[in-house]
Amino acid sequence: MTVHTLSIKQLEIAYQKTLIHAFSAELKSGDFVVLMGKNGCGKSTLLKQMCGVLNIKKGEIFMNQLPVHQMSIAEKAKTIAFVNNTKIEEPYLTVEDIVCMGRYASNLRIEKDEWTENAINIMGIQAIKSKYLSEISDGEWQKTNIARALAQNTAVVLLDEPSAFLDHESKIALFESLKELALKSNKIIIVSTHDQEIALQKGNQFWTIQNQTIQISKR
Amino acid sequence: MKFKILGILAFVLLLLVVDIYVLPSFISPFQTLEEHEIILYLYRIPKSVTAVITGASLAVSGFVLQQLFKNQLAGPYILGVSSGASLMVSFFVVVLGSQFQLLNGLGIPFFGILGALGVLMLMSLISFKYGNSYILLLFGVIIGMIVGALQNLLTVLGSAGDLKTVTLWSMGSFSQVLGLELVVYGLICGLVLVWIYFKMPALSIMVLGNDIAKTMGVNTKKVNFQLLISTGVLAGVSTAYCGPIAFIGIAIPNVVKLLFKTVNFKLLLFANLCMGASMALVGDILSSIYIKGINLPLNVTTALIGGPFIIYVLLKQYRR
Repeated sequence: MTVHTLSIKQLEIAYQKTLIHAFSAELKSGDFVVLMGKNGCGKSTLLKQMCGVLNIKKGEIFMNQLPVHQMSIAEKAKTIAFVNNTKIEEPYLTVEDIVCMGRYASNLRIEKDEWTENAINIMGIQAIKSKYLSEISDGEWQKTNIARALAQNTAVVLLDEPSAFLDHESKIALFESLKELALKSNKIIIVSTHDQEIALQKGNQFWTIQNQTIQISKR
Repeated sequence: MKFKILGILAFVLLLLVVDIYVLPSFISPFQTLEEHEIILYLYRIPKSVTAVITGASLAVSGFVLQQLFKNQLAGPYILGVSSGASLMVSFFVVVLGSQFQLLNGLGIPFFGILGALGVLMLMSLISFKYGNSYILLLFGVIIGMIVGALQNLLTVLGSAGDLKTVTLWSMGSFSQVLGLELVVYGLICGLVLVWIYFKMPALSIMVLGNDIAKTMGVNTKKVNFQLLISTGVLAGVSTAYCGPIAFIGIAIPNVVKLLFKTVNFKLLLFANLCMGASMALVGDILSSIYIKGINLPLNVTTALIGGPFIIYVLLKQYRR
């Protein structure tokens, strides 16, 4: 399997005001990073800057030596996928519809193919794939989101507090499946969370934001 | 699903046949009386084709606006877009028309588009600053009123002939678009509809929110802008040629949503196209029947069909 590398160089994490001045890190395929810190310390901002929702003013991000910060929206979507926990109120959207939308970046279509089938299998949501969003639980909604990100077929998947609305069991299951994704699907996964006890058991790298710096510790 | 698609297609074709051959008086497609041919080719067929183009354009424009503003009561009429087009067309007729007689064929659609886009830009600015809730619809209604007042002012300033032209036009009619104008009308709307068709996957992903859509490869700003322009052109041109027609743009997308229960936007677009054309044809059929010696104006018939339906949607959606 090809090993992908992601390097963050002297990135300024800033939204309205500067939260962290210069952050650098190196990651490779199989890494499962857990990002921790208080509310408003810059967790979401870092993830959103990496995937292009927010702009980068200072610093650089490279994927396999290619500058992510200079990529077009379409190229970025083929490199980094982003999952948040916002609920969607669209009564007639099905689980499979959402997963298929993940294919847009690759071929400008949103139809099912082997990638969407594969993503649905990996996340174990075959049984609910024709259900409407109003009929599924929060845990299933999060799995759907991750399956969509998998269908996007990126080397990096970023997740912004995916466990926020889940019960304890679903949280454990979620982190376990993310760990498996990193190892088996050869992805770089970065997840922000407040569920430290569970996350500490599953991750292999921990980024803790405190006093405007990020401390990196590895397992 | 296939059954439903064939169903609405059959429905629109049936209405088309009724509108051309049956009402208000029956003309057999197989007989060849010269008077009948004249009625068919110079009057009824252009009128029905105009109805189809206009209904389809207004419904699609309403559908796209409802998605862009994430508000299911949005539409070209309630957002003031049709009024904007009306104002500019009146301005053209009253102030410039007499000097540019030759340009009428192109001037009317051009000024219609200009007015529609002007209001749309204003509405997207308001939506950007104040969100997409009911305040947006209120703004739309008020802007529509102000623009309507300006239009009244214009017609008062104009001649009696202008007043009559503008007043009749504002009641809506499918029978004023003939010959070259009809070709221009069809071409503009056809091209824009095809263009919108190819934007459907991107628009459907934007259901997930603009931030997520962007990380999935959708250039949300660009798509937003392109679709706003497209809907402005559709609403502007159709208002320019047929008058400000109420309720098709707001009612049909809701009917389609209830009927199809899907987010397959290509399918929804096609359904809006057919159902919009159907509603325009029904409106035209009803207004072609004489009641006590007069025709009902088009805006009366579409409002009488569409109005109660929208009230139904509101009652159903917002019951406590």
